[in-house]
Order: sequence, then structure tokens, then C-alpha cells
Amino acid sequence: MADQSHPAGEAVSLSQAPLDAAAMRAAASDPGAGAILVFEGTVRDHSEGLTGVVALEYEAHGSMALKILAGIVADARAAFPLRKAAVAHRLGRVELGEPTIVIAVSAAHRDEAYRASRYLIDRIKHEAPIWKREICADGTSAWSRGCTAEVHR
Amino acid sequence: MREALKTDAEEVLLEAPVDERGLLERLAGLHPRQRDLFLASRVAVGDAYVRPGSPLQGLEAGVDIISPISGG
Repeated sequence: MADQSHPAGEAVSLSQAPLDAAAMRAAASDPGAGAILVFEGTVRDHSEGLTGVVALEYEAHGSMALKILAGIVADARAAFPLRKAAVAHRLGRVELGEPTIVIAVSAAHRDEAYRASRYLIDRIKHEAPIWKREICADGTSAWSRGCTAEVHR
Repeated sequence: MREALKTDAEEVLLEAPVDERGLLERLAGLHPRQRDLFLASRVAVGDAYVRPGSPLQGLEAGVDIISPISGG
């Protein structure tokens, strides 16, 4: 699957390439911002009942995921006085320590930035049709159990 | 789910209108070994989740079964 961006509107993307947190931060920069918050979700070496995780492999329902991500960002803009917001999610194999998702938001004050970032990651985890497989050092792998998607719209 | 069922798509004949739950129950009945997976899934039409309890419409173009998600 090639990298994908939402065709219009919100700055959301799905990428097969490593995510660039610095570029995301720059995209969130705004003269009216007193706070820029960049959240990176990263690959850790363990999961529920699983140790020795060396990588994650992500798949998505691309068109639907972009639409859902854009809707969540639009909702965040409506709920918080943000200057800018951008979300990028990885697809494909992501190695230990690498970012799986980057969320960059800017706001006049830190409180809105913190709250909006938390709002975005929580909703993305519960709504975006994205799946991950956990790959262990011994070569075994398993799809993450995940959660039933929530319907907000 | 694709791996569990070993298929990307399946055609199912519905003799009466169904809602999301009805469709998932029907699919679970057809694939009893994946029953729990279907019952933990959601249905999407046109890249949007359907509202629980709403009659499913626009099924001619197909629906997506969204198994439990794990993004982020």
C-alpha cells in the first residue's frame, strides 16, 4: 500500500515510511501558538502476556482509516481551541523503538494542547480501522487482540 | 479475520433486512469457529461504521467487517 493522505482538509496520513516527528512539529508550528505538543507512540518490547517483541506490523483499511482520522481531528478542532493539528500513522513493519503514530497539536495554551492530544490518541485507538501484528524475536507473531471499534459518528 | 477465514470477501444472501447485529450473527452462524471474532466486530458501509440498531442499507456495494482494532 502506498502512502496515503486525506484528499482534502485535515492533515492526516498513513505512511509505509518512517514517521518524521520533527516535520510534524514544524507542521504544527503557528505564530499564535504558545504550546506545541508532539506525541509519539512507539514500539515497545512487550505486550499483554508477551515478551521479546521486536517489531509491529500494521495494516489498515486505508480509505476508511483516513476518513475516520480526519473526522477525529475535525472533532478535536471543534472541541478545543487548536491552532493546528496533524496525525500520521505508520503502516507496514515498524521496528522496536520507532514511532507508530505521531500526533502534533498547537494551541495558545498548554492545557488545550495536552487535552487535545490525549483526546486524539484515545479516539484513534478506539475508532481507526488499523490492526497490528506483534512480531517476537523467536520469529513467532500474533495479531494484537485489540478492541471492538466504537461508533461516534 | 481475513487470515482466519482464508478469504478477502464472501457473498451472503439475506432474505430479510438486518441490522449490524443481525448480519454479524448471521456470519457467526456461517463460521462458528470464528463466532467470537464476528461478534466483537463492527460493520462499515461506504467507509463509515453503521449505527448499532440501524437497518443496513446500500448492501449491494458490499460491506466491510471491521474486526477488533489495534491501531495507535
